[in-house]
Amino acid sequence: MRRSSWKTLIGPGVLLAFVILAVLGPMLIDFDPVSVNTRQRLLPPLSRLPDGSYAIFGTDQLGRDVLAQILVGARVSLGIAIASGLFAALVGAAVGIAAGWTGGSTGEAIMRVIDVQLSFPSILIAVFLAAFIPASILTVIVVLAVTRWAAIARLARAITLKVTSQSYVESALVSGLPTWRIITSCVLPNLAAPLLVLLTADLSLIILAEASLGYVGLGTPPSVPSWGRVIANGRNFLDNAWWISTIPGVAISLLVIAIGLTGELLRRHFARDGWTML
Amino acid sequence: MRSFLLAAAVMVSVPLWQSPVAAKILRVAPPSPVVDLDPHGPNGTLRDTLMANRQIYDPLVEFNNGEPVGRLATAWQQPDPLTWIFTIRDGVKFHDGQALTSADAAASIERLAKQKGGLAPLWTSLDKVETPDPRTLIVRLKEPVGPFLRNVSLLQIVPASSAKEAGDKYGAAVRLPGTGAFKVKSFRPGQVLELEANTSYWDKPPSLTGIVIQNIPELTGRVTALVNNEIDLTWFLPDDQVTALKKNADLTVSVAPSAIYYYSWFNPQRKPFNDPRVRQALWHAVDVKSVVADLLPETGELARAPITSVVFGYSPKTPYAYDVEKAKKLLSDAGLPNGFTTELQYSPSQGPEIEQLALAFISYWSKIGVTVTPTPLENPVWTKNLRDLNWDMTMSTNPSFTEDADYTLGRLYTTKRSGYESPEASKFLLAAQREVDQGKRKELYDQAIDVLWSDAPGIFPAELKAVYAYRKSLSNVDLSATYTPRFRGTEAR
Repeated sequence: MRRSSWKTLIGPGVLLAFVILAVLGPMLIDFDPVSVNTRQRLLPPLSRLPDGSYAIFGTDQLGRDVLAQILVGARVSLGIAIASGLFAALVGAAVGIAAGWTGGSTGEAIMRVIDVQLSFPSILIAVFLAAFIPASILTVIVVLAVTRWAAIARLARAITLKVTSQSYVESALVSGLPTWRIITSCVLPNLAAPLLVLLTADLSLIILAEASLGYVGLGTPPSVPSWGRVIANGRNFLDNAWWISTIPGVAISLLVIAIGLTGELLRRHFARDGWTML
Repeated sequence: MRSFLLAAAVMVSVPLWQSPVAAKILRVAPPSPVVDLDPHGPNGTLRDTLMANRQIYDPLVEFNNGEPVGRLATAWQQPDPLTWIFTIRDGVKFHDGQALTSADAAASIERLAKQKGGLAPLWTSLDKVETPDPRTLIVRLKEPVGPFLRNVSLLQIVPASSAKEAGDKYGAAVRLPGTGAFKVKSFRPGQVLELEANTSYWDKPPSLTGIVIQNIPELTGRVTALVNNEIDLTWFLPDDQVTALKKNADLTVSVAPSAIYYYSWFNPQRKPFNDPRVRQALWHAVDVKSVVADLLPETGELARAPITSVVFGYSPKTPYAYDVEKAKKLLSDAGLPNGFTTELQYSPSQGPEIEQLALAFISYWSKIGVTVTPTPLENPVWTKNLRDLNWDMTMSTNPSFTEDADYTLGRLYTTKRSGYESPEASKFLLAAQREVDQGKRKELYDQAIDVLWSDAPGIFPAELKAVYAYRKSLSNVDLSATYTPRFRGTEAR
């Protein structure tokens, strides 16, 4: 039985809190992303609004509540991160297993394509793609998935190669088991754990990449408040309205740290079960 | 002891006679990069290219408080509405040493007029130029041009030999010497332009020894650079920075009238904006007065015409009232009782508050059932779409560079540049373009603005103040109303 102290649960706890906020938060508040109110712009945190309510995290340059934007943004940012992470995992695993399974020149060709992609800075690819496709949430998901699938494909190929060299796989082959059966029963179970760990690490990278895209104006459309966009909104007001950028910035840091801690916990858990990082 | 004293005296005096006047380099960061230095090229109307060219080149005349002042021309006359005769200044040399003659002015006009973009549309009435002698330039026109001298004030003069050498090439590939107060030392397009003083300038030589014009893309970066003494001067600052910068003891913030205004055009080539009622409805639906007062308290003023109050031809009209019911009625009269869906394009680099203004408008429009997608675009894409009329609605800032209504109204609303054309407005605008009596021109613009204001080719929310922020060490900064200051008179301590 492993000893777990309360400290190891901070990461997953914070992550869970963010997920709950992302799911429930937008239901609790009345936020219309299109509606602005220039009368109440740039109010500092804890200001009282003309309608009697309080702006706990202040308002931005168009009088929109920063707290509301962060709650809606949590759903947008986490949603984008999870969707593009899963998308990247699906494509990456398929390509990687194909490369590992076929081997030979086909496998090599696939790997060279992956190497070429990995040799580009991923944010450069994202900016390049985002500049050509009209801004939408789907665009951001696809663009971010494109930057992440290659690393996953490498992992999937390595695992596939390792697994297929095992004697039980050779026996299965000799006994005439179809390829898809071998992949689903031998390769995928071995891939699941390392993929989950890699995906957790990727999740924080994707959240940061989404924020960077938003910051350079290539992320979600102006009417969809992702965290990156809210940070970008505040960049011209850093000296007179620090809260617009700072508060979502802190939220991103907390989330990324929480995901990192959770990933570390998962890695240790799987390592104890006899699996080591490749 | 005596030799020690002598040595000490020498040591003290060395810096005095070894360092002459300290280099006085003006460090400037304009809001957008200087992309090329071709005054006649397609980028000739870009604000910061125009600003850079004003240091390097001279025109024949300049305007000072609305009056023409001779620069490379010492005198001019108009014997008949179709003919202008200029006397070219003697003793002026280009940066490459050639002497200025009337042939250079003629070649410059021809070079500008024969290309398509940039400032060329101002010269469509040109018939021919003649140079009977090296000091006389005759410009013959096919039709009279009302704002002719204003247009001449934007024509920079280059040597005829260089113009010939450049041939059909325009833009970044071309380097042309000027006669201006500064000459080019080095230039990396889009990044840094280094200028040095022209010590043999024909006019009073500049007090600055050089200018470094650098591109700092982010507004926050420009402001930080100014506060940290990395640059001396920047401009086009948003309202939200003005108050903070005014408190800084090292800086001067000057707010001056400008020829720049915000517009939000509708594309009348596309449905439903072909119906003036739809355009008027969208104007009535926005509380423009409050938006301008909230977003631009220091630097904006509710517009009363599609040009600003410093521009020749300005004639104020009654602002559109904020009236949601009227807007809804106009929409249902136009057959759109349930509103419609459209998009608003803008480039965030066209103005510091443009995105805020766009989102505020969109918020108001949503209340009458008009759903508008905000579409921020990179500047080159936005510009291309604008030219190709590839937009439903588009928002930007626009300066009247010649400070004459013809540049803005005559250029934009008679040629479908804005997608808008009305026979009535065109009639007044073309008449004003061809009228040489300035009093009559003013009346014609009053009538043209009447038509434009009620027909609403766009919403004209605000005219802007020019905001310049500079270090206290500078004086005599030219507070140009078009954000294209000249630095030949600027002094630095």
